[in-house]
Amino acid sequence: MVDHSEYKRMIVEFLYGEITPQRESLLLRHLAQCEECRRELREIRQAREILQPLRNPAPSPRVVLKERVSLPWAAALFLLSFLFLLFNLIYRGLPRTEGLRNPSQITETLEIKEPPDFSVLLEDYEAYFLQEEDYLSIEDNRR
Amino acid sequence: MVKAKRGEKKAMERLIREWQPRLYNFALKHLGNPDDAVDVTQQVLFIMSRQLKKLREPSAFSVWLYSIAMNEIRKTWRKRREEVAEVPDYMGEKEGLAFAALQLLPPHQREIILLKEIEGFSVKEISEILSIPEGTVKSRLFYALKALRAQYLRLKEEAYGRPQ
Repeated sequence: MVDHSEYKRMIVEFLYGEITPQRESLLLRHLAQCEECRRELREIRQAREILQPLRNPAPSPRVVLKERVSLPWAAALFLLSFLFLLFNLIYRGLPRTEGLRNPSQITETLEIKEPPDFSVLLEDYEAYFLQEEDYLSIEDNRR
Repeated sequence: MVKAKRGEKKAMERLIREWQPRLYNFALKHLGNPDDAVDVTQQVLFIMSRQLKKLREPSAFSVWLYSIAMNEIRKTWRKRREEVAEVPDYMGEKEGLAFAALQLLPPHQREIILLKEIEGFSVKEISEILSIPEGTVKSRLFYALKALRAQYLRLKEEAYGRPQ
């Protein structure tokens, strides 16, 4: 004797073509004499018809996969870049003095060179870094 | 997929392009919100690209991918369960009603309908994706479809009145 909850599972198997021949004949015999299960079968069929329009795919955004610079490489690049900037700052960016002199003897105005524009260099570096970074982005054409 | 698993970048790109629309569709119909669907799709594909090499059975790829998707969808759902989903503009009348009815179901019913009806997974595959017994998949699907029908008829009646 199979209870009704088992017939409900059989109805699902039957509607999706996943039922074995033995269970199918058992279900069909039961449906022939059970009005309630016939109604359940009709309702489940109707529910599946309701879902039919939802099988249309939604318009979806496009995914772009970009290349990646691995973390050690990115760190090495950053370090090299930083050292380069530091080197420039120390050896080129500061005004040079010619030995120690008595301050009272200093008559000329020290020419202070403009330091390198770090913001531009850093922006360039960041742009490079971002361009090379691996990430998945979805272009913003969402609806 | 096997090439992508070996780390070939072009193959990974193809794999992402192939699966992205399906995942987006699934997420949209589950979460009812395009922005969340985009975020979930992105996250799922990102995890996939990172974890693919660990997948032992290439034949289980879609089940594995949807397990990740379910996980991400549930996380998103937990974060914003109070919000009300909106029917996307592109949907027609019947599709919109079906979509709205689906959004009124509890998540555990909605997910099983989507996995079966929209994604076409077998009962066995769904039991693996959701980590529940096959018998539970069948009975949950049965009650989910009944609930969907009831919600659909209710919405239709609200919109057009009781049929004569």
